[in-house]
Amino acid sequence: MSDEREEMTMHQDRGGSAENGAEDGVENGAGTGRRLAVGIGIPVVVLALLVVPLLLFGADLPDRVATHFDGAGTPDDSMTLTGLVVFTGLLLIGPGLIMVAIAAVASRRMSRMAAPFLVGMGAFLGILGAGIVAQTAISQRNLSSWTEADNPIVGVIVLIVVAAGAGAVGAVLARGLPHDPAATAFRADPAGEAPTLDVADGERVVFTETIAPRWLLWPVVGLLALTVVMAYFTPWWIVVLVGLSTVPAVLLCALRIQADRSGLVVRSALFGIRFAKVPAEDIEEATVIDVEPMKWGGWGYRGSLRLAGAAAVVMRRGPGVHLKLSGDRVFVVTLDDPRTAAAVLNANANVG
Amino acid sequence: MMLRVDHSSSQPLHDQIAGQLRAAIADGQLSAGERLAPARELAAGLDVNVNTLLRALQTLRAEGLVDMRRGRGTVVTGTAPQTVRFVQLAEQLVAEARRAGLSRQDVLRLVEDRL
Repeated sequence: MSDEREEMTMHQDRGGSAENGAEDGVENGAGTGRRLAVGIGIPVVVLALLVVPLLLFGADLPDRVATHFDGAGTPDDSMTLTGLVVFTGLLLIGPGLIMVAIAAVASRRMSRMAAPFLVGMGAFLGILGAGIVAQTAISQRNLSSWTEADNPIVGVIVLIVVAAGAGAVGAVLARGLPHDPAATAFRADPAGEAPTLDVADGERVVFTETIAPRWLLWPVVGLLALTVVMAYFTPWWIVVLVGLSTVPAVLLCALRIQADRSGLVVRSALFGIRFAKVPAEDIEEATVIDVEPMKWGGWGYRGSLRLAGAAAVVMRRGPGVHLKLSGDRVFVVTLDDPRTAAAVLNANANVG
Repeated sequence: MMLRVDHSSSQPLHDQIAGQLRAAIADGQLSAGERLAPARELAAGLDVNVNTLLRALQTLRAEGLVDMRRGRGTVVTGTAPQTVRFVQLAEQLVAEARRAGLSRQDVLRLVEDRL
């Protein structure tokens, strides 16, 4: 998927690079330090987490280390230490560091979203992989056999939290990387019309729409089924994690969008949980566009206004409203009636 | 669906809201089975009291256009075509009359004369 994004942004790069030369020039100086911090700093931290515990405790580990545990936390499978390092290296650390490296080297050709996403994911995967090895080395040192290993559940939870934190830090760091403002799909000129309506002084207009994509039911049902099936042969905490992962999908199944004087709000129609709020003060212009999901990072809630300056609620291909926000930010949501939504927002923006 | 109320109009706010919802149901913007946004959120957007909005919804319920249930919110039950048609015609008449500068008495007399 990252390949595709790469290619897409590079393709658009040609058209945009000339007119954005000045902006790139400004970012050059500031970008170098950040590129080193991301491209060197993150791999160093990941590799240190991998290597230091191995140097300290590698000699004290049993021949094989416990790598899999049953529901009660008793070890039921093992690997050699080398095997574990290769396994995590190929599956987690390697891909993670490659993502970080790509972002550090080529962020200039990427959208504002892409580098933070890659670095965040990469740091998460890298720390997770290195952490698994580190945790194994620390907790299983001085054992005579892998069968004596303790239940790693607490360590695993801590590790996931730490890795997620590292991912967030990585994503924030990567925000400072130079990007190509023209290359980004999120910056694509909507070129849509910006309808408006006349709203008198004492008048108030409100637009609401509920979108409930049917297709989302399938992944939700699938995830729930997976949770039930997994409950039979996996440790309870994995079942809980998978079960929790269905929550966002369930909440996305029906969305309620409201546009009024205060701005635009996207809520889950279930329980009314708020996904996003765009204050009216921030909205510069609302236009009607045709949403091509791959251009906006796929389906679902993509991106983040705070982290990436761009976010999109894409529930299908087709019409949507594009909000140009202050600070060069963008918000997009697919709607059956984007014209009315845009008109309400533009009218309120003009009045306010 | 879009709702529009005019706070400076002499027509009561709950009447305006009921009229807008009725029109939305009549022209298919709101279809049977569709659930309205919670009264609290709509009221906030329109800058009206929740009770004003509930009053509008109660009018529509009395007309058989919506169903209100605890915990389920307000659901459009379907179109009561006849009522909706007449209400719309009346609204159209009032709007046109206003634009033409007719007084309340003029309009009432016009209708009464024909009954």
